[in-house]
Amino acid sequence: MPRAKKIVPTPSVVEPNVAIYADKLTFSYNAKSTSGKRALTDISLTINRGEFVALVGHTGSGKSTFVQHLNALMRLQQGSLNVLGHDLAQKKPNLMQLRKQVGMVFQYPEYQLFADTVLEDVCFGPKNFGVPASEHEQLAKKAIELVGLDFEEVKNKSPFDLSGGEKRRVAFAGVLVSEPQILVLDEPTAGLDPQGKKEILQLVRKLNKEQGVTVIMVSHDMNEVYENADRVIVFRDGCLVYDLPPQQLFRLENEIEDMNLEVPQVAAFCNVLEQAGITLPTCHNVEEVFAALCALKEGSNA
Amino acid sequence: MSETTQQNVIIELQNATYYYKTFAEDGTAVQDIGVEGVTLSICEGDFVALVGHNGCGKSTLAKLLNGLLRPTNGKVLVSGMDTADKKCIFDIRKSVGMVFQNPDNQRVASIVEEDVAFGPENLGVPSAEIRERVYKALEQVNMVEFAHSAPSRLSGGQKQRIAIAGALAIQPKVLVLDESTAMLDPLGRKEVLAVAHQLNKQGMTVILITHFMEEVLDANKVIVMNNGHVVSQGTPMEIFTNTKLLEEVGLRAPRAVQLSHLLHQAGFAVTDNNTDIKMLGGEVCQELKR
Repeated sequence: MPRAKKIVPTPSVVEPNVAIYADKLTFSYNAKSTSGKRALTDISLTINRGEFVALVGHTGSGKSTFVQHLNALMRLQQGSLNVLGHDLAQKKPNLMQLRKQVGMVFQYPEYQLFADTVLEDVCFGPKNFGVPASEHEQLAKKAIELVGLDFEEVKNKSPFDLSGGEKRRVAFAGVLVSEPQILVLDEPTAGLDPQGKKEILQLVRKLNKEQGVTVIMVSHDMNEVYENADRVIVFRDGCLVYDLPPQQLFRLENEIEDMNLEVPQVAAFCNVLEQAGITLPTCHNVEEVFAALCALKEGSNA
Repeated sequence: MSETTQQNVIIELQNATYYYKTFAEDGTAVQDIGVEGVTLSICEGDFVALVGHNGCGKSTLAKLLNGLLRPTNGKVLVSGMDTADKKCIFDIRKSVGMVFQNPDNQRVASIVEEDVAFGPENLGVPSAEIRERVYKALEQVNMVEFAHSAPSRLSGGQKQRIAIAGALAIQPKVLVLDESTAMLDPLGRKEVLAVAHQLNKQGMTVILITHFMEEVLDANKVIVMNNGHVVSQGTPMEIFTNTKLLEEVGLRAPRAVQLSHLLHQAGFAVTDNNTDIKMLGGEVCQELKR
């Protein structure tokens, strides 16, 4: 394995509507030692602003390593990477600006709450990004209301006195308060009950559809991926192996099962129908499938 | 329920109540309901799924089962022993093994076999027997080949199976899995569930706490909790067809059950409450091609 770093500046052709551009991005842990482990190999992709992309793959496939590049928690070793116009091949990209624009919600983000009050916790970002103190409360109020909590009710509470679902929403608010243009979510619904999952996903969809936030969601729940994402990127052993809309990807049932991923229920259903020559319009969830089937039946009876 | 009447009751809760003590802003003590007035019995060999939204009291209930918490009111009996009776607590904890959500929080040693041996060592089991128990437990979770590995280098599912082996080494009669699959990827979840079902077939009573409704389908009994109370008990099908109940407690039926129920109600000739999405697909094809 060549040890020399080959960082390539991003070409100037990166279009303004491109949120993330990666070309042959390669990364090894302990790159300098002989026991270095390749975590990513030749990842090339372009994600446009406003897309809702799901990133899936088995544990250890490189998903987390990849997303940590997006706000330079991991620095570029080989290849090129451009995020919102920041060329990460540069020695000193504007990290503060980048990290403000790329909001990162880690797994179980409620474990990272730390301040005495919800207000302080949510204001930590703006404070460190140098936003004038007079604006903090206004920004926090906006973010806390965005995640569906009552600002006056929670602002002076200790975040540790809230329920699990509320804590997670406060953690989300702490990221959203900086109004990121890209939101990276690492298993945002893990450990939540069905209702909590639904609420978090509704929030993410709202941010994506109404405010145009680009969403990169890492998930192990293929049903959730199918029902929410416009595009699914599959990682396997550090390589990008599929990059397709969910409706196309999950037609490949054998390949999906080979990778120890599940075929979403709605996709499995549509696949059976397709094999029998019945094609439904694009359906994301049970309700849409039901509506499509009712329409089909009505049409055939008429 | 004729089947269960013949079985022996292993865990019995009689009006069990647990209040957490917390303090209001002005410093006065307040009682927060953990669980309240829970009466239920679990039989030997049952595979029970315990469901409900976050904070509904599932974990409190689990902790009452082996005396990690003692009921504020009411009684919890394990094989007839009262968890409030301090003399019985060791025997109770030997009968009820627990595995929690995060595999990294329940590791005590840096080598797998030592980790599994921790339980029996503390019970003063003779060392030759410890060895025997450890290997038997590792065999039960299909992890013998990792006996000398470091737990930190294992996958989530493997770590969780080691945690189960640690519980098995105490030779419990009941295994409580408190969201033990929540942090795992699909493969890890599959592995842990397979082990739980395999143990159940060998006679172990299993209590599975989960948010994944698909995992609930294979249980023989489901207990639904809401705000500290048991609001319903029944077979998975009885629970998943009770749409009103599901809505009230914020749960949802598995997608296949939902879709088959919707279609059945709309007059499609399909099996109602079907758990098999492909079979449902087949039925719909038949219907549409007629």
